[in-house]
Amino acid sequence: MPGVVSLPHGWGHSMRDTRQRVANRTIGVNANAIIDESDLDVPSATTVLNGVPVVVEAVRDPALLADPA
Amino acid sequence: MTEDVRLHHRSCPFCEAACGIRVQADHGSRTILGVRGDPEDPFSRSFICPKSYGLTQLHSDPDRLRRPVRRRGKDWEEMGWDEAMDEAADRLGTLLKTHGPNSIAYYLGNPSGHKAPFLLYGPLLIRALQTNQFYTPGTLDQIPKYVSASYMFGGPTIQPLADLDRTSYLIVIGNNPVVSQGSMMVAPGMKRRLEDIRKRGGRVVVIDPRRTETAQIADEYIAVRPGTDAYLLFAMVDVLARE
Ligand code: SF4
Repeated sequence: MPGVVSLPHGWGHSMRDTRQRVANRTIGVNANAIIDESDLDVPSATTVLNGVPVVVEAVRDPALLADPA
Repeated sequence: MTEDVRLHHRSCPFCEAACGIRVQADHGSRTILGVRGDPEDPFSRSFICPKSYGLTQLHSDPDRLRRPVRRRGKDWEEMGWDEAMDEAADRLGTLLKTHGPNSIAYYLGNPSGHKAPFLLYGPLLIRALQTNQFYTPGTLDQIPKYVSASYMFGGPTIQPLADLDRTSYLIVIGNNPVVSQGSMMVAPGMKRRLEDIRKRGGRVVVIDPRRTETAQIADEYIAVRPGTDAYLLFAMVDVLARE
């Protein structure tokens, strides 16, 4: 629907110490990077993983586009 | 087929659907040659999803942990099993004494839930540690359902699951079972099951911000703005109560 972006969970393994050389050759980015882990569903103490407000902008700095692996 | 190549009947360890699989393995080179859905499995009826096909790659993935590892500063080093057990016992004991049970977090991956050793000893370990820092893949998608089931039915595992093979009206809210195979619903071959509902003259309605793969085979698709599902559910309860 208009105004909504969809970013699947479970991709992007390039954080430090993940030791995932093979998985890092695949596409995808880590949705957790833009999730605020202190934002909780109080009754279940579950992190709010969806419905995260985002602003989408084109990346102009080529360094940010480089493969993180 | 050489003598070393053998066919094994197993169930896929990746999710609750537990699809029946046929694994062709070369015991000489210790490699998996192929994974196929098992047509004789009465539950999954030869269905498998891409994760199961991926077992072949997973088995030979050089990054797969084959031995315990220990962090040394920035690096990790491999260690023997006996040494790892001794060190874990020693340091878990010290941590419990000095920092209390919640200084230890426990992560349980999906395949462990399909393994007898975990089913036997896992709960004992968790109870002994007494930590409330307990994580699983379910932490991402199931814990709120455990909480609501505890309030409504008296226990986290008393779950009202859809009777997919008999229902005549299925409402799917924020769920993409054609891809996920339903997770807790434990129903491999979801696409066929949803199509069967429609063939019986039933209806499938999908409510989701995204026009999902499930929405594409539904009778009706309703878009909601992310984060507003609670309002939608309250409105539905209100209509039910009033009309
Ligand atoms: S749905 Fe996929 S991951 Fe789940 S048990 Fe079947 S093949 Fe495995």
